[in-house]
Amino acid sequence: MNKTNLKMIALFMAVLGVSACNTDAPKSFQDTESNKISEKNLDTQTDNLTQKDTQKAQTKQNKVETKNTSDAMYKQAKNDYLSCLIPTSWDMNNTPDEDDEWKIYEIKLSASRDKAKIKSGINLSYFSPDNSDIFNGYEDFINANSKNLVLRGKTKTKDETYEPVKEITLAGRKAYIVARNCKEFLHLNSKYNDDFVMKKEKMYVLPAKEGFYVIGYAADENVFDADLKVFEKVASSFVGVF
Amino acid sequence: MRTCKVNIMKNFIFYLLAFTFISFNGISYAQESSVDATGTVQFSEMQPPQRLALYQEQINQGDPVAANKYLRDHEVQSSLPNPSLKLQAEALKDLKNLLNMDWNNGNFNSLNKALMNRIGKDNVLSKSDVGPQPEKLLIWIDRFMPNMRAEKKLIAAKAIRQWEVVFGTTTVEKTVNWDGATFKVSIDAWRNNFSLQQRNSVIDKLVYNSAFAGQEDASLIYYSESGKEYALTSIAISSEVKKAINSGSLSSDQVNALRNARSTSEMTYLLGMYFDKNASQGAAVDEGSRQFVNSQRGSRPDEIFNDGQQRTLLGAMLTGAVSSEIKGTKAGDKVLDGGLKINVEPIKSYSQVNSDGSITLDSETIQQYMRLKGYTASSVLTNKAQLTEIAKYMSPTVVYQAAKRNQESWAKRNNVYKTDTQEDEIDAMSLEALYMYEKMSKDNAFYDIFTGISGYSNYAAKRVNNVTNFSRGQKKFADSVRVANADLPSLSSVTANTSYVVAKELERRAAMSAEERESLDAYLTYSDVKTMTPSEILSAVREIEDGALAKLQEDFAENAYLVYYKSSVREINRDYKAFVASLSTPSNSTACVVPAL
Repeated sequence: MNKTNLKMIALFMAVLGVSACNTDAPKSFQDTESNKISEKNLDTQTDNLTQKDTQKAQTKQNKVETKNTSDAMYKQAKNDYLSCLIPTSWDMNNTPDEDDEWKIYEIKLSASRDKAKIKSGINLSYFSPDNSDIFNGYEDFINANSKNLVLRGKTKTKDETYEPVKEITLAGRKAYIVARNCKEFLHLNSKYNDDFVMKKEKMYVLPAKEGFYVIGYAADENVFDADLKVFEKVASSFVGVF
Repeated sequence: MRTCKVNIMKNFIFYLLAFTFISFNGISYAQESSVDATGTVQFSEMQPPQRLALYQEQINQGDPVAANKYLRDHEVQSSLPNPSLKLQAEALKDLKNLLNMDWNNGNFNSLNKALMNRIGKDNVLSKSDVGPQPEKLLIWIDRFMPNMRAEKKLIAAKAIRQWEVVFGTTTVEKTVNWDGATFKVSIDAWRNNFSLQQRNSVIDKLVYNSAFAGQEDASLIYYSESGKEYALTSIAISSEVKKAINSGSLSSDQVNALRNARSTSEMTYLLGMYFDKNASQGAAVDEGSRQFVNSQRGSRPDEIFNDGQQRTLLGAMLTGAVSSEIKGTKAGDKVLDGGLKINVEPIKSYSQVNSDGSITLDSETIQQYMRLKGYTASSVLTNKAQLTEIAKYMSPTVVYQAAKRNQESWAKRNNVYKTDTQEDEIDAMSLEALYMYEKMSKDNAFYDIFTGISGYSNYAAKRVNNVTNFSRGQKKFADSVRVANADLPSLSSVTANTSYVVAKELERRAAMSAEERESLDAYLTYSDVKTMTPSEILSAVREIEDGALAKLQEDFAENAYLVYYKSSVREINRDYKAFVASLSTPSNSTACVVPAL
């Protein structure tokens, strides 16, 4: 075996090594997964190669999209309903069985942040037209989330502020921005623990041909701005199937 | 020549790739499996037996991704049912979901509680090498959740009470004084033999011992919920005692009594007496101290209502008033079927449901409302309007508890095992939210009570918070209830863990000789078992009768309670949607509010 061959093998092994270190699943099944255990609503398929060399080693089968921005590394994620870039350092908490149950299909990401009482979360959700939640369409969702229906439609109280809904274009689609700051108790049935968080949320609601999409970000308001760019990066890379 | 070299390389990479995938999977199925031109193993083309073998291998190693795939591979599950593997897979999936929740320095003791139900000797996860030693969880995280950040892994280490995290890296042995006896715990014994329960007992003891000695063991205090409360209270009360002694307002007898007090509760009792404004020798102390001491000592019956008789009377009056309040609402009608009996007592929660189906309301919560409104015990008992206000104020928590009572009644009626789970909370809190939404929309007096005092009463603010979360989407609501109740097991984890233990015990008994069976001391009946928690079943499984074990196995296999839960929550959602649709006032209209831009 000549030097060139050895170099190529070394490069190939390096590629495998790198791809192993940034995946949430164990190497064994991760590889099996990326090689066509295809199921409907399967866990997000993630392949994450981070080095310049790895781009040379991409095969058609194992197509990898890697973006490196100044503050985070991203990888491509997709399910049967949407695809987007996701930050590799965030945890993915998908619950496919519950998705099937509710007919709401999600990619759920979360990250813990210092000085935050709750995890920061980014959710990309596809609400199918026959979803089991309370929303008949995107209008219902916006209605329920852009004001406090319980307080007879108030948009400002001592503990809550809702921004006016705005229409924009996101990833080439019509979208609505829903944003609010709300106080949330962490122990609703505890007589002694009155700990609460001031939570800030921003959501893009995107009508689809069938159903609708919601791309949402929520965090303790102390740390909300820190990951806003990450959220915008994820949202702008969104591609919906419907 | 060059083309030849390229072909050789292509072939080499192809075989290397194929070999790599096979090696990583740990199973030699290269001959049987189809491999495409890029070396990809076509898993979907494998036959069910091959897939099952692969799942088994990976699930035994603890792979949660494989577990998830297996649970969703209906072809394999129906053609080759393997209940034991299914339980293992459920438990792994549940463990990953649990660890993905929001754990931090403020709640790692809840993670500890949640893990107690899952990790230990005879737990199903041990079959996948997660336990019985708690440290195996950290190894599992390294292997199967490699993206978990260092801070979160530290939280997991705190939750399992890893020696180095709890006691530091410089010590390898701790001496514990246990009610007079002294024993030593070594790092090796801790790692190999101490369950999570045993670790907590040792830590509690160390915290209690140092608090009793008047010190706060800052390194341990946050690992012990009860110890923390005890230690912090002891330290705060000691400080109040010093302040009171130094104030010069106590008599020499009072000072001596405080100095000679042998426990924190004795000191609290004495301070409460001295600070009592009505006492003949009431001490001149600041209001903050008085309130602190009063909040720490037990309530005296005369401080709330004159006597137990008055509380009984209030309970009887509220039974009728709350029934009228909730009757006619969709949620209320669901819970009134079984009748309603309300008691009023000082309790540690806003409300509770009792084994006889009655509901106890917390007298302190009622009294807080009375203080805010300037009502007295006697005025509430004689003024219908005031009683109605209190009935409205307490009715949401009655609905919540009545939903829990319905769950228990269903299990009793259908004779199935049921324990407290996250699903119970989702169901009960959803029903409370449905009730709140109906009342807040239609009953102005109710609306005014909850909006008027929610700034002063956290009980009221929390009720509004709950229904607001519900109104923003119910899938998200269910997720948030799970996170808030992460120390409770999910229904699937109870099913997976308990079924496994039961199946294993039945297998053990099936392999026994007639003689061994004769000596079996299994005396717990199914009626006994129905009152036990999953961890109690786990520890007493060998004492449970054959018939009771078989019935438990049947309960879990049929999953009837899961069916009940799903149908109940679906019905609540349907009712909510129907109610929202029925509202016609413009402010509550569900019509599109998207601005015309």
